[in-house]
Amino acid sequence: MSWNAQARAVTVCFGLVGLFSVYSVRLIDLQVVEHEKYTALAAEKHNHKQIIYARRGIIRDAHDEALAENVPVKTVVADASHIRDRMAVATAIANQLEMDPRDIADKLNQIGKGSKHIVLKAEIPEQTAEKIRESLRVANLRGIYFDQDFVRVYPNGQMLSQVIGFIDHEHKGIMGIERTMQDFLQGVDGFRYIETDRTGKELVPYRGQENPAKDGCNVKLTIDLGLQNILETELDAACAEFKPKDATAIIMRPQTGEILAMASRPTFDPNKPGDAVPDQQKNRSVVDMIEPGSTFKIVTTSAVLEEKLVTPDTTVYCENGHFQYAGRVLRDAHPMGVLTVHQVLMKSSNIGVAKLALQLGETKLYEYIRRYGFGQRTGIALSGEITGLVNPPHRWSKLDITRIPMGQSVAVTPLQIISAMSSIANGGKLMKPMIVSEVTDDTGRKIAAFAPEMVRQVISTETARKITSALKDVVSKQGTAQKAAVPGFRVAGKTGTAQKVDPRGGYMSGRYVTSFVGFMPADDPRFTLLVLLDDPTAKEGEVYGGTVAGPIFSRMAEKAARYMDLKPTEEIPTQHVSFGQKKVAQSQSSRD
Amino acid sequence: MTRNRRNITQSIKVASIFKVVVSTSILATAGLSYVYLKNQLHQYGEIQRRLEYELTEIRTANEGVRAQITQLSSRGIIEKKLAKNSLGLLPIASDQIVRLNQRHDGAGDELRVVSNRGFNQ
Repeated sequence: MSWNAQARAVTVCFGLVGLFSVYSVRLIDLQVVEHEKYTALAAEKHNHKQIIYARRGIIRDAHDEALAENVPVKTVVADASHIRDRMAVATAIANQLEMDPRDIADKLNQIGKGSKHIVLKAEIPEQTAEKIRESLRVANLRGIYFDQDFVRVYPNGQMLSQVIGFIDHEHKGIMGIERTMQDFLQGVDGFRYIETDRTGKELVPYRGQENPAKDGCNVKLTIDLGLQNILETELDAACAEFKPKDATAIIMRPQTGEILAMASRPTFDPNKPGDAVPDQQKNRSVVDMIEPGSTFKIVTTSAVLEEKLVTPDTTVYCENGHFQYAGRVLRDAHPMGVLTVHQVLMKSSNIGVAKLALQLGETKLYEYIRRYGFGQRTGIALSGEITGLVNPPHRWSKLDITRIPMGQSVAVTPLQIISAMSSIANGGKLMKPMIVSEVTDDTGRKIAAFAPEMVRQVISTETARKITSALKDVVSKQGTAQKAAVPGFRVAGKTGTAQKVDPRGGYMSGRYVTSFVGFMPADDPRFTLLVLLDDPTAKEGEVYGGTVAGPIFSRMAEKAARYMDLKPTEEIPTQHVSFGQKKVAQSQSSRD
Repeated sequence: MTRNRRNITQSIKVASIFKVVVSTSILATAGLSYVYLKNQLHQYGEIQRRLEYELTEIRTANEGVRAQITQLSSRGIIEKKLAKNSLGLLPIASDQIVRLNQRHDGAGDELRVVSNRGFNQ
């Protein structure tokens, strides 16, 4: 080998060594020095945390009828790193998204300035998503993906809307059961760490940590949608007839405190909560306080009987409708002379009940008001419940002892009134109102069950029986609520006609809150029903609880009794019978 | 001469060749198996991904259909349809309902012979 040849060989060798050394240095630089940087870059591009969304629990009524459901929808997301021709993608999907292609292109052009992902449209139906997928497949385009989401739907629309409530865009309950049971309903989203290839497709073998989603629990209410429908239909009819400012109706099972139906007017559609004003969203049964009027007389009357200060036959002189006390005159709707305690309640004498309260004394009266649950939250699982307003005796004026017994100078919620009446119906036990009966997981396993809860024994069974006897006579020819009678059943109840409080002080002339609260059948109550209309429009002299709320009660109670298949306890007066029906009736009687 | 010839004899070392071939084959097989298994892993991963996707889609569709059924069979919709189609259904008046009382005297609880045919013969 000549020198030149050897030199050339050495030069080539050195050249190769140098070249490979450069490669080696670069390799070391990439693999060792810059390792962290490139690992992070790769992870950012190919590793993702995939959210597995939990399904929100379903709300059902007592008979498993769905009140709130989830409808699956998709959110359209664009990934900039996978889109080459933005205008082509925009044109391909514009039709299905019902958007202008230029608007989509503008949105796509914004990608990369902050994030490589952009939401093009939310809440599109599954079918639309499928059509978009097909369009992209045909055009051989990629970069558009779909995130799973759901929208909450309330199949019954306005029915029970204030009780169920609704959720916001983050799927958080805003009001009603959706809010109070949020922790049970929401579930827990899961996640999975995934690695994707350059086309965005997941590489399953490289899956990382995975935590499955835990679906929300299903909530079962005590509400019976059949009764709710009766209540709402009749309440709508009443609103059309009397045009009140607002109206409330509740049905409760007195023995357990279960709420069977609850409705307020005005109302709203929870599927479109944005269209409603706050006044429509109020569940007036728990967030409104009103002066109860004469329905409150059950408190004083039962208290004096319980304290054995009087008997139902003890007489009270009702001053012929004109009683002066503490410099003011207290009047009755109709002048009355001597009445028994039983008659005081039956005829709803203001003077009679005021005199009973004077006999009872401030402290005892206040004690019984509190024992009936007024001035404190009932603890029902509904959002925004208020306490009402019951001042302690040291804040009472001299006049209050005669005004509070007839339901003035106190403010209560409709739920508190029906709870108090239910305690008369069930023999003196104040039950905690309940609206949720159980919570189950997605497999049907019970997570929580809510049992009826007795708050306290307010009055004895004997006193409750005496009050019931008087309340039965309220719904008679001698009482104030003849129109509340239900054919075939004995009803016990109490009317209420409270003057509306003027926000500027005093009372508004000629404007009333009319109510009727009662239970049926009187001797074996299956339900308590409250009807309350705020400022109804009726002929002058006819705006009374007995004439406005009484007939509404009667219609609701009759339908409710039919729905619950209650066996009539009284003779049903024959109503209008058509010719064909008469023949059937006659043939029936001949068989009997 | 004989000695020299013996030294330069280049006989084929079968054992060594065999060793090389076997070890190379093992290495090659291991390598190919690795690649094959890795491909299989990716293929099954892809199948798993597709099946999972299909399952999710079916579940989602199922949920959608269930929600649709709930909506269509909801009380509000049925009431509307009832009103729209004017079926003319009227509630039965209370005085037109005849209630049959159940017997509570215990009669009928005991076992009775329904037919004596065949027993008396």
